[in-house]
Amino acid sequence: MMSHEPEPSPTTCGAPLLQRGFDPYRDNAGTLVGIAGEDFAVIGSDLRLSLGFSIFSRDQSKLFKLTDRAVLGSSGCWADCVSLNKFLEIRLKTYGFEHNQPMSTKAIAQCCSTMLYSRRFFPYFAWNILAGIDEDGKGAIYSYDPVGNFERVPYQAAGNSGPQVLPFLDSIVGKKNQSNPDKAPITKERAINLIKDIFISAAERDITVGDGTHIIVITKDGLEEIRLDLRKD
Amino acid sequence: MSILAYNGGIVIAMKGDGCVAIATDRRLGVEGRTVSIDFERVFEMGPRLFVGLPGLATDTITVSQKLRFDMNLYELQENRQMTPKTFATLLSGTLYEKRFGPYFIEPVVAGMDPKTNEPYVACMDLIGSTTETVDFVVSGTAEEEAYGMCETLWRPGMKPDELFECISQCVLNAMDRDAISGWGVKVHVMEKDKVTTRYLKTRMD
Amino acid sequence: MALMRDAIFHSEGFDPSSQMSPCAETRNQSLVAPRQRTQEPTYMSGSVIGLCYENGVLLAADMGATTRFTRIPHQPRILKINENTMIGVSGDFADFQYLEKIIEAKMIDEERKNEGFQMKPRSLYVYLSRLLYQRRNNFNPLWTNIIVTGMQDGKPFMGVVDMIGTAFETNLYSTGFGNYLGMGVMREAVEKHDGKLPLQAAVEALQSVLRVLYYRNTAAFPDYQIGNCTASGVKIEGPMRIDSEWEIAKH
Repeated sequence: MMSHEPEPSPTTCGAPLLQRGFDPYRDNAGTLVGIAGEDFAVIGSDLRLSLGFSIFSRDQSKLFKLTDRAVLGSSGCWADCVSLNKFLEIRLKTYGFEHNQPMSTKAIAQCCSTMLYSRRFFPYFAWNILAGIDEDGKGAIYSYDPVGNFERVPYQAAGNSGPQVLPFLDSIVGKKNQSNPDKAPITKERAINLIKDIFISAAERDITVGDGTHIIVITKDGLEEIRLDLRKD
Repeated sequence: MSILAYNGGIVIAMKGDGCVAIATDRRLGVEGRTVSIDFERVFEMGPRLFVGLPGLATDTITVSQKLRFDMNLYELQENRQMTPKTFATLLSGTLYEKRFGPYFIEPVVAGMDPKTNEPYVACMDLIGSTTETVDFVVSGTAEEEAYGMCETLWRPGMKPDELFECISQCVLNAMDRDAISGWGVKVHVMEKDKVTTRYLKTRMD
Repeated sequence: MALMRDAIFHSEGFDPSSQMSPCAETRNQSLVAPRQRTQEPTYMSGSVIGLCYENGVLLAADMGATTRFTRIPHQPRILKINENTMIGVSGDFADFQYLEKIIEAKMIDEERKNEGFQMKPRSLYVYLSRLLYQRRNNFNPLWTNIIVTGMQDGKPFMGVVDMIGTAFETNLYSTGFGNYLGMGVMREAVEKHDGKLPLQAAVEALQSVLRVLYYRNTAAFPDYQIGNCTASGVKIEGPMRIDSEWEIAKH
């Protein structure tokens, strides 16, 4: 009886064929910032797509408009980001046909997590922030890790400049480490201006942030887009 | 994980108008396990001269003692105080001596010139490559977080009180997002006629 | 038993690489040995550069492919796909030829259906991005960078796809060395004319980039092609020769 083991071939000399030389991941960087308010959510991304020291594009938003009340920001390996969002788009379309209504932000949040986890052992190298309006009309930000762990948070920063931006959000939006903070909820204008300032500051210290920012404001009336130029060096 | 992140810790130094501040956390850990919450990693090297030595704790202590020894010799020989700039050069040389088996610390120097009262801050890498800046320097495991804070909160011409508030907010919020920094903060503010040292109450987790 | 082995080693469905084996003997071996996959390229081609101008889009590339020791000159790398689409490919030359086959089959299929539709450049760009992404997911990449250009609904279009499926649209791009040496020259030309770059200036920019690449890259070839896509169709010119000045090298 013949063995099921592969016979030694001249090319591998009997040694097991190892996967080497090919790395399926690239870090195309990108930074995302999201802030949730009482009846709105704001999410922003930079417009620079890069690999190491070379710039691929100076006008590539990392925000994907999913419905008229939910926007997903993806950064990391751009090939994975695009693929994830294409599959997500298919899921949202199918849901729309089957239920005759768009998917709720809460359901999208769970759907994103499930899709990320479906690739647990060959993960999408993508950092995601979902911004939207929930069933009660309140602003919502959901934060993800690359394998689908997620949490609803009042604000979040992710991607290459995440570590730099996040403590600033803790201080200003989260009012952390302040003795008598003004606990009034953040206004829409303040949130937008804050995100603009954050990207201007991030561009000073992080070479992967620059060229411009794309900000989307989500309210019950739909999506409002803002674009702002950043330093190009 | 890098040996520089074995014990954890963060130091920030900032310039103000006629004043300089240096702030540090107080934790000593062995990877994730906290061992001490009153560890000293910022040392008073002169009347208005401080050095922060974040990195591997054993090297923090060794280098601080070596620097103290060299400073004492200098002051006996020259019969004058060392300027911050000279001190930074001395430290840089000390680190470069061990170019191929370095001390695993990335120092921060903060001080004021004994004669001109000119504020001075500088930071260097573990083999002594020095960077002098006009605004602030940061070093340690929460470096990225601290850069984010300082870049947004720092502005030119701050008075001692404002400078204290600014550097405190920077170090507090930066270290709260770093698992191996925290557990108390110590801030020194140098002015031309005095040094104020304050301990900050922080979240202890 | 042969059936079972087939099931074990060929369970991923159609794979043209096993069908294109040069002789029966190697084909037989591929049944028993684990499948070989491209872990490193062999014959490589250099930069492809592309630029959107006032009323069209240009692609340029030198002609040929090399290993470290051998050269195959006179190989065109810019393809006309249809009247409003052309692509330029750099990277592994065998993978380029394989892609050429796939796209040709797709175009023939389209013509055969005779529905009166022609694939637009963005569709081809998205198709190629999915193809390359799927190949990288199977750890069997097509070692190529592709620039897809053409006229998309009357406007110049350029899309870039790399070997792992990274895909983005832009108005100027260069693969390979040109990414470092040529993008600045092209961007300067575009910005100088405030987005309304005339054809002549665009061609000159591409030629100057090709010259720099020829000077600085030992693996480059002196012959090149320039493809031009406008509302009136795709025209690929060449081979032409880079005018180079080697007297300066003596100093």
